[in-house]
Amino acid sequence: MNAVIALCHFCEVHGPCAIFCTQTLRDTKIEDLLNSEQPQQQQQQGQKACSACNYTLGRNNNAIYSKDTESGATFVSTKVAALPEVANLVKQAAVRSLCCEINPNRDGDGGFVFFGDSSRGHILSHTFRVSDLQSRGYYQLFSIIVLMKDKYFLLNTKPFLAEHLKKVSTELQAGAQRTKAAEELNYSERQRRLSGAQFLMPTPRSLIELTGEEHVFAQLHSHFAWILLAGSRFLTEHVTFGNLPWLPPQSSGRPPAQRLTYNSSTLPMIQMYEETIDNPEQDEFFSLRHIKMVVGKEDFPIVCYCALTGVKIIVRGAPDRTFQFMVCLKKLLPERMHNLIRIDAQHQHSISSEYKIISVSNEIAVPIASSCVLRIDFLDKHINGNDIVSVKWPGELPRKYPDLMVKLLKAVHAVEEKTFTELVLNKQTKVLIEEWKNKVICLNHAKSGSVQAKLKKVLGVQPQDQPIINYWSTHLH
Amino acid sequence: MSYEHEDYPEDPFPKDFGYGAYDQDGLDLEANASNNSETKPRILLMGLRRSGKSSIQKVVFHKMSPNETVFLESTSKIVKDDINNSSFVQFQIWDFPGQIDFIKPPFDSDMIFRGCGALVFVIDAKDDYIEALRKFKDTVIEAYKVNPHIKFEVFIHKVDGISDDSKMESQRDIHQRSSDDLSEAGLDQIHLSFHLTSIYDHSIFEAFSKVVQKLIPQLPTLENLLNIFIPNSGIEKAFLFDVVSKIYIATDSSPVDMQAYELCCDMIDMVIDLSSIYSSEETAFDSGSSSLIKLNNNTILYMREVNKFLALVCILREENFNRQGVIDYNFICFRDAISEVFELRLKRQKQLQNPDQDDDELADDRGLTMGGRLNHDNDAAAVSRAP
Repeated sequence: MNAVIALCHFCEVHGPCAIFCTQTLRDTKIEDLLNSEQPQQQQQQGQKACSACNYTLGRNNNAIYSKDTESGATFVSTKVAALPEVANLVKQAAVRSLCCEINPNRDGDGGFVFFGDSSRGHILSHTFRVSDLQSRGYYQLFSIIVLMKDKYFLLNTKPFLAEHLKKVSTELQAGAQRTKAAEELNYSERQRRLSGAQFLMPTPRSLIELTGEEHVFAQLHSHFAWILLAGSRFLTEHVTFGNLPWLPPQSSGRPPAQRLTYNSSTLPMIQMYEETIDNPEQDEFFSLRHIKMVVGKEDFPIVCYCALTGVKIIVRGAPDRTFQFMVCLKKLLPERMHNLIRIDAQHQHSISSEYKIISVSNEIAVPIASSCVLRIDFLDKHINGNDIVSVKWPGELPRKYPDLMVKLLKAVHAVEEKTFTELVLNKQTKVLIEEWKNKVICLNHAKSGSVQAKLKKVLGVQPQDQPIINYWSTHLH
Repeated sequence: MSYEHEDYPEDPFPKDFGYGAYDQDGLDLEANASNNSETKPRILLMGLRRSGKSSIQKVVFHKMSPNETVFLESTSKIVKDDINNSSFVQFQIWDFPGQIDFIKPPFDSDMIFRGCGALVFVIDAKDDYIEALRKFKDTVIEAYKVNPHIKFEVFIHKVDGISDDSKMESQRDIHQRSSDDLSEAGLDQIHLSFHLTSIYDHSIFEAFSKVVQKLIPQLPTLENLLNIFIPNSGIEKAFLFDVVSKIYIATDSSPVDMQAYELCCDMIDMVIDLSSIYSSEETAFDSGSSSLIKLNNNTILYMREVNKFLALVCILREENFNRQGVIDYNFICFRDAISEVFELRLKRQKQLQNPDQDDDELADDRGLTMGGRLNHDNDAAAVSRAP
């Protein structure tokens, strides 16, 4: 989503400003930004030192970023937006969101206001109050703004944005409420009244103090970055040529998060969505055995070999049918290579690109099978609820399978023999993949050919493993 | 949905600094309202943060108790307050957040200062006022550039608890510095008025009265009426009050004694409070309202209702009150004269709305009416005073 999400604050001393901006970067490199950041800081001296107008992450670094490996987008959070022209727009939007465009019915608490124009950007602003016993009026005014150039995109995603911005603001307010309750215990209303105006502290307090949450800005970053990421998937536009477009069928009933490749443990809001995908019970079901069941006994080694050695695999079929299959294929590659997998690509261009394992829906044209393209077509027939697929690959399997593949086939066989369960199979798969990943990384470090040969001997790498090594080593730097 | 460019017109940010500028889609109702507000003079409350702008506005126009102002939140947006309780006192108060510099872009100072009647700059007397004066200078220069007719009023505020000497000293110092600043900028012709104010006594009401009076075009007429009324009725001092805000919108030309003003303020408070006990809030002040208070120094306070929003409070010696009938008769003449000024104003407003009507006719009409009434007033007084 090409947008900037910013947390703005009306500082008691310095007036309105944006204190925390998260934005999506695609082509700009972070290194360039960090170098160019210094000359941008033209704030007043006083504002620089003000704790309420600035944010701290608790550590030394003052910027935070996360990367979506799949789309290559980076989400950067800084005090001032990274690009000067954007920073100016954010600054103006912050002033307007706090000082004029306030929903009069809600009196600045929790309302949503849309304003802006094409030159100054379109803005969805959500203003809310955070209680603070030490400030005038016992609260501080904050707002979250979403700034976009695309008016219709913003208006169309408003329900989604509103829902999640509301969640963020409620979280902050709840934190502040807890702090307030704790403070009131120590310092009652009466004491305050009797002590007169002295309780008005001259220095405004930061959001960290208000919520009592040390990592509040890191949390905000994860929320904002998620909104930016999920917002882009909330709505996709299709370019159609020729006849009037009919609406393409919704790719699946799943929320947009199905394609997220995020470390869910740190991002609470994503976790909620990913639970449906990654919960262990389903995991058990989606093991390599699923692939074998779908493609059949004969074709299973082919699929395994192609996935492991980097032959392009194109899976074509209805997204809800291919999804599980793709999740299983994912298990055949180490995590760092998951960006080579594209589930439910929306566009034909994706096929010709770098992706090695890709699934598309039926309406997208795909190249015919060749020695470097394996095609798996999900046919529309169902027998006993099983998928019927056709696997086409004109290439030939080597006589001696790579060691990793042999072990995987053995493990799958063991499950069929009921020697162990699918859960164990999943763990075993993971262990084997990790083992070979480390071998490849180790080999990568070796410079000369003679050292490599020695290493291979030590690691037990045979000539038949070479295709895997070749493929993986280019992607595991 | 058409995807053509149908954005707002590209106005300089933020035009009216409010919603007015953006309802361009034929919202007639809104457009009318903003038209109306444009004809109303505007009083701007500016100054550094925490100098007491919102407190002044709340205490004077919303009857907030001064002690409660401690709990006021900081103002984050321009608060526009319509004061239109009487036909004379009609204006808008804009309370600005002190943290924001409104005279610099992206704010449109043209929109802020155009149509503005008075700029009240509040300076905290207990604080170091150097920074305030710097901001004041910038504001005055910018405002004068846009609108040379603006009246500049400086409230040296929070002077309660400061000794009289240091009050005077800081007023002199502020006066000196700001005049120097302006003459440096080549703007000697700007006239600044200074007031020492505090919300804990009546000084803020008095200062605001003077600000408001300058915005009433009929002030000379009203003062004339009072000047004629007073000597003919044996009254020492009379104030024409706006009942709700306790601002006096006119008084006779004799000097205003602060204590006399305070007495009259308190009297209005007392009358309103007492009559609200026995009637509803709305009918606490109506055409029957009048009050008479005898003080122990042979002075009498006499209050009469003039119209729904105005009251006349007079201070007179007890011995002059033995002819109450004369005073009452004169008062009725005075009241009629006021209502005629009022009608004329209404006519004029209507005429402004339909500019086809003949201007001269009205002007003549006004002169005649005023003259006739005043003569009549004089006669009546003369007759009744004859032995």
